Amino acid sequence: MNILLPDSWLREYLKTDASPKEIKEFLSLCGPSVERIDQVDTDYVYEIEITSNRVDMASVYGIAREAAAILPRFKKGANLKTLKVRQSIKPKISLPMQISDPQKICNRIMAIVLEVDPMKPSPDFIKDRIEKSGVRSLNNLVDITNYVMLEIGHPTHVFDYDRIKTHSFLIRKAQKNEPIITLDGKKYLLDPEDVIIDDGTGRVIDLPGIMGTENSVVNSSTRRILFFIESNNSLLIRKTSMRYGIRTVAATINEKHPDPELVKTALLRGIELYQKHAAAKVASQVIDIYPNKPTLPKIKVSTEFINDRLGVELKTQEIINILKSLSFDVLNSTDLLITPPSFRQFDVTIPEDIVEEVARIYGYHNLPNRLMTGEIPITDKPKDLPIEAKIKTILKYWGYTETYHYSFVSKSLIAKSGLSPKDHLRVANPLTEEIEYMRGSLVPSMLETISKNQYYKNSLKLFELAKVYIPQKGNLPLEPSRVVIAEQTDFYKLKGTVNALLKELGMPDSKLVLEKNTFFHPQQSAGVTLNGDTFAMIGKLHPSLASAFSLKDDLFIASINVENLVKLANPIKHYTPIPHYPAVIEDLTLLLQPKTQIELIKSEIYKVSQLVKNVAAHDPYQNAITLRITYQDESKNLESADIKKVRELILSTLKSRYNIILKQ
Amino acid sequence: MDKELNVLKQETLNAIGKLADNKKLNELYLDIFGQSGKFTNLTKKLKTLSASEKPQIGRLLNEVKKELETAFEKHKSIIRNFKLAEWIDVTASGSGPSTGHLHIVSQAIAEITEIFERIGFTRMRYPEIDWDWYSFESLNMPVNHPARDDFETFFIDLPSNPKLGKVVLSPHTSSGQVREMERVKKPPIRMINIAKCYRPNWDISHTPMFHQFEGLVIDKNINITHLKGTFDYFAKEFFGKERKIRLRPFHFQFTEPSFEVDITCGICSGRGCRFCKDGWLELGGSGMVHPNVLRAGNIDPDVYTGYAFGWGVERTYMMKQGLKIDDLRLLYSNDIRFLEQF
Repeated sequence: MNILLPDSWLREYLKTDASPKEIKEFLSLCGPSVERIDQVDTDYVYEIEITSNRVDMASVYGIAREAAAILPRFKKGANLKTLKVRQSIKPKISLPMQISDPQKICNRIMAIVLEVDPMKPSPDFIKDRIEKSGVRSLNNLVDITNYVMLEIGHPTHVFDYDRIKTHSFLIRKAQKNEPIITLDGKKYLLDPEDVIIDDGTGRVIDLPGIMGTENSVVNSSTRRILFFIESNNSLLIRKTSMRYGIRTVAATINEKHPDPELVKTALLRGIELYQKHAAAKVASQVIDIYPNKPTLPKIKVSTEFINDRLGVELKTQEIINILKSLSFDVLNSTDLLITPPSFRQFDVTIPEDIVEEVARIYGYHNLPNRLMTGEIPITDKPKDLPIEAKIKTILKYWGYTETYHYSFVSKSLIAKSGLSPKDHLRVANPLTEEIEYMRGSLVPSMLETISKNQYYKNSLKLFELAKVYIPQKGNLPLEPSRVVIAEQTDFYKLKGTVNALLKELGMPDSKLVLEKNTFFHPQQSAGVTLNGDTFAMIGKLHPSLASAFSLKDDLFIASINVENLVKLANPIKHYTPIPHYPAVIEDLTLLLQPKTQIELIKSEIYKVSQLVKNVAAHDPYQNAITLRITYQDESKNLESADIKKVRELILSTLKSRYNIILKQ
Repeated sequence: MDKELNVLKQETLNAIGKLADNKKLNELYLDIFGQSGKFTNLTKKLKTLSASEKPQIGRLLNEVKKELETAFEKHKSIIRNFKLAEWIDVTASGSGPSTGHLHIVSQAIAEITEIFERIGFTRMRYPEIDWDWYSFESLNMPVNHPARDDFETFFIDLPSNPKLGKVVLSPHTSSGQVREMERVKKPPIRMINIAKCYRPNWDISHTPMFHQFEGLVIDKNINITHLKGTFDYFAKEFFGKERKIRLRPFHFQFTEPSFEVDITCGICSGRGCRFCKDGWLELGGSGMVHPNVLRAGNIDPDVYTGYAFGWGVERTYMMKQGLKIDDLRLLYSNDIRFLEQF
């Protein structure tokens, strides 16, 4: 939480020669971060971030106390002017007020009845200070509760004593769906975990620690008030405040467990202010219900422990001085026996907390920068990360542009892509429908992106490498990485990219098989397999998807499972001796039968003779194709007779098996 | 006369080398060997020489003639076969490979990884969809702890595990801390974990998916100076050697002490300007690993200490580049007009 704090108010409790700018800088280095200073009139207002463990600083007095410990480290004079409140309260009359907390929900409750003059606007200094602190001024009776909260750091409340006809408060848990109308006129149906105040008749008159109700609030006819402070169960406050989204300043302080000792300080300070600015007369005994006063933690820690974690050698006395400047009690024997002040009792409980206190006041800026000197860990490095980085780099340099999509997809995108939402993980609390499901494929998001970009550029070449999320029964989902490549070129360009990519990564030779997949054109797609596993698909987008996404140009897509590459890729190269005898290369132009698979023909030719080292297909034209055949013998120069023999065998095989003949 | 011959030979050879077309080469040939060519004229002088000089000069004349004629022939062939005279427009566009673009998040991850690997960190990656135990509970953040407010979380619609809790979309890379301790079992640990994270914020400066990089170092005798030294090294390597870092006290449940890390602003060099806070920019959070977190990872906090940090990849990279992307959502919009700028 952030608080606003007027400099003039701070200086009421802090005597210092430090300027606002210096206060901002030095506090930020050793204590709370002062995010900005604004000049307002002749005053300055600090905006200070209070971390959730340091609710003791969420007040004028809390910051003054902290500054008094920090500023002298920067050679600035700083003294805390202790808050003095009159301790003895003598009631003139004693009006009845019964407060009970049978379930001991609250840590402490204090209250008092005061007779007051009719409400009026607050004096200027109160109005000015609370408004600079971001609280709207209403009238003196309400403003004083806020003034005390801002100054002391504990929320306080005021009720119209006479509107609580029973003069009785019962603190209890709400019943399910019990209604309440808060001060701002909103109606809530309560939960059994909410804490409420009941006037003894079953009527709910307060949502304590969070917000009051209309039925007990002070108004222009109020003559007697109940000034009431409770240290509530911070966890329940938090839950209630979050449940209904009522984020009052009181709630944000109460949920951080402020010191119950502060309740008394706040009460006494409030009485003093009511007496001064509302002509208050004490009209009851002080009520103080404090069933379990917490005992302060004692922490044992050695100088060595602290220095080991700081990385510098501080003398024991310096450590003690620092802790004492923060109001810690220190007993120096073999180890230091440390008791935090009550306002730090929930925050400082273990030796590491003491390290933090010493280190920050000593100053992190005074510690040197060093790199670790221990051994560098030798550990199994993940194999997938370098391969993924390599794939991205390769594709980038081959002209593909990388996309990053959200891991989420909408129900409508799933449906549009021909998939079923029930195969996807669902986010229980999505912000919008667009991010309701975790994607199980990279293809749908890519199709959407192609469709969005197709009018900005022709021949798009895009890719994405990301995880997909596959539900598993009774366990966390699988998160395998996939690559999807999408381009508006042709099948063979994409196939060439995939082949070259696999080769570059060191994948063994894989096979293309016909495989049906809902994303792909039934006649123009294939699976890439190795050892019987299909680990990639290449093909033209299915025409029904092209239509669903209104794509203007043909789109070709490849999808590759990265985990197969991680398992099988072997980047180690093998050496084979360079042949001594030259190769002979010749072209055979063949006339094929329709729908002949050239891969089959090539493998047939390899089988004919050991001399055939390479067969490459070139220049397909209508039903003709040229095969460039490389013959080589590792032990001698090939004669034309040797080649003639092989060639005739090739041609006779092709003729008999496939009815393929040489083009004349 | 032998001197004159040698001069003529040298001048002619030089002249041949400079010519780039056949016509000029023929003109030069005639100028040397034509009826009143320079060489022909010298030949005519042979008669006037004494009988003792004649045989020697005659031999020289033959040699020079042969040498020059070979040079003419050779140069003629260079002009003809190797197209010495061919002209192209060198200002016309090249037709080399068209390179694509890596997304800036990939570029950032590559740079960050490289810097940390140089000082012995190993890059790891842990589940994005994880148990509450790893995301919160083991990090000293029980279910109702207010610190969990800072980590508003997406949940996955799956049944809870009785021991490990709900299934969450990890809101930070810190979920990998205890997983790394479980993997390594015995320190030393120097891990950098870079991954996607998710939080339910979606506006001009937040996207529901973003990336973090998390460092975790655990060993004997690790202290605050090591954390400072590592950040200083990273800041100087990543942002520039003149940059400095500072720590400010902060609070995180999973570290004690906890720090917010700032770096001097690159625009004003730390003097203060409208892009920074008094010369400083916030890098992110860090701290010494909380003993309860070490215990959750089965590491004895009396023997080992460590530090951890988790910073936003997008934010850190944009700070480096001084990129002023006015709407963070553009990063994941996949508009080709945006992607092609990087």
